[in-house]
Amino acid sequence: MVIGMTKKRSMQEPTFLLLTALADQPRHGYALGDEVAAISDGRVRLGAGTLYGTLDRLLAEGLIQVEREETVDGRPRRVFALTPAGTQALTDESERLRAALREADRRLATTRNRLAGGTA
Amino acid sequence: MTADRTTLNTRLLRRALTLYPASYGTHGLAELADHAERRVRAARPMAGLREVADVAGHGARVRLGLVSHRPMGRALATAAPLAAVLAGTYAAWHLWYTVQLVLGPGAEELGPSDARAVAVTALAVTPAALMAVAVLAGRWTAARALALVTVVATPLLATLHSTELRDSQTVLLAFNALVLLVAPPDRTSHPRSVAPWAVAVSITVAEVTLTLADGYFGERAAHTGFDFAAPVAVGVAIACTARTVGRAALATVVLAGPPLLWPVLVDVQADALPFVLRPVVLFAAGYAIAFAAVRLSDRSAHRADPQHP
Repeated sequence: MVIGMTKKRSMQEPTFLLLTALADQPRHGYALGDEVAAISDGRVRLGAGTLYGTLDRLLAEGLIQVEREETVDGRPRRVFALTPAGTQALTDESERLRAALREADRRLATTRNRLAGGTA
Repeated sequence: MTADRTTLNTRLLRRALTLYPASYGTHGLAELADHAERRVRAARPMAGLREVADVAGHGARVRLGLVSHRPMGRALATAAPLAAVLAGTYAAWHLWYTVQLVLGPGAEELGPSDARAVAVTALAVTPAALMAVAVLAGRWTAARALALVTVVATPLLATLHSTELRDSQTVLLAFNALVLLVAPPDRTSHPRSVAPWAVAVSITVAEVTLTLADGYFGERAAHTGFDFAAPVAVGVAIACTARTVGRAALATVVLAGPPLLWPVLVDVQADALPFVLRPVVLFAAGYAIAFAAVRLSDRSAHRADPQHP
């Protein structure tokens, strides 16, 4: 029995940013933290606990996978990569955001035209 | 001084890392430890301390099985904002009650010990009230900091000083703040904020209405309002919040309901079974009606959607 509706929730911003950081290439945890900060223009800075907690969840949900484990300069690293399900989830969320942006632009253009007409 | 603090943070971080169970994996833990240590060393003392708290929170959640991809973690994340607002609204109401005691007509009759008890009560409930404000404003870091203050300071003040709070009321505030503190942060800050707002508004309206109806700020009127309004409001809020969890909705309700109801049950302080069962029945009624409404609305939307003929 299905309880509740099946429509997907919008993604939380840290999840979206993490998947975006992995969209172009696999990355290890430390680089992901830096990428998320860079993509969000420094607005979102994930603490190590929150970052690895979110990565653990994305691993459990099958949206990312550990591509390889390595040790560089004595530092242990897991390199994470998007799975096909993660790629699809990011694509869906991007499309949802793009549609919202298009609508915002359309409405803003209407308002700008009205304001321009009013001041002319 | 700063170097000492950084060293202290590094030492605290090593302590925090011991919270992780062995099952987390040696490689994963070593990676996390290296990552956290680099961040702590690079950060200013306060930011480093926040980093340590973040790691300690994650380690504790992993050990207790409350991580965000487990049902209990998801349920806690659903319950946490509601629990915090529940406690905060309750605290705000007590704060208002203490203000009335000080400014009301009987204020002159307060002796020094009574005045001190009222002041300590106000001090004890203020962090919980601010915690709810922070949750409603979406300020999650501030909300967790205030939850920590509530968990530590409120029971401490109530133990060390005479207050207007009963033991059960102190437990209510500390317990609900603890729910927010242990909930996984990557799921707690969900944008569906209307449910916590609805809980806060409905309880406040119930309290104010009852008080105005009685015409005085009596303890009985205040508690009756909370006991009636809170279970219904929380039941409705859980039904609306968990609506899109799908098959996990029932598990979320089963796990999230008791932590929210338990403080209310404790607060009833009645030995008669009907009084103890009342919050459960009210919660179930609120949940059932709201859930039926949600399903009905979903079916209507599904039928109206041209992509799903």
